[in-house]
Amino acid sequence: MAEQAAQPAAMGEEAPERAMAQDIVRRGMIGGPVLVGVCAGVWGFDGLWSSGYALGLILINFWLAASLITWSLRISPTMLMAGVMGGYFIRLGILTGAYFLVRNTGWFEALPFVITLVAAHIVLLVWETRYVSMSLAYPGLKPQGATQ
Amino acid sequence: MLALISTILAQIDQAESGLSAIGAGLGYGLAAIGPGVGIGIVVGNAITAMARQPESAGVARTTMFLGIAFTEALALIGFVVFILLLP
Repeated sequence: MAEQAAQPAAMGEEAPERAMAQDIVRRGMIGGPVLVGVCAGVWGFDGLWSSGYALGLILINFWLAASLITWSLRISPTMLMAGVMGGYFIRLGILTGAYFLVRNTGWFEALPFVITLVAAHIVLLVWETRYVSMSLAYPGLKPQGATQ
Repeated sequence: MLALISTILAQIDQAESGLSAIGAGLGYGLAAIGPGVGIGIVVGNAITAMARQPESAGVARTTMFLGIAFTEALALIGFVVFILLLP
């Protein structure tokens, strides 16, 4: 019984990656407009739309990655492997498709798009690592009000 | 003579844009291989960790998610190169 109680909530009941992805999306909503504003300042309205589009894609990418992990881990570890690898190719395909969808539109600028794509991804991840606990009690995010 | 030169120049121009497209596609494909291998290693080791020590599976999942996301940044850089090379 005790062993059963010690069994983790790991195989699907808890989803630390989803909590992290939600936190990343929340931080992206807060910090992203700064990057979009910089792009708007340099490239005007075209930069604003392109940068905002890239930011949206990155946030969807994070959310989709976490959702796929949570969903596949509920099924089995094998499905996790398939879900993550398949999800990687699907998400790259979505990014490529999203690019080709707007590539020839009048408002699209490649440079603010790619700058936002890479900068938002890396900055949001590095920012998020400051709020990750990774202890047995709190495997995902640090509890609210915790000191560094 | 001038018409011949302009035709040759136009063909060179076309060939250049075609080569750029080939380079972009090859670059994107090659850049996606490394992160693919990396993500495979990350997930494989996370599954091993979860199987060996199920009580720390939450920590393994968190580390795995961060590892996947950081590795994927490399693929994004390949995607950026693809966009910039595409004519």
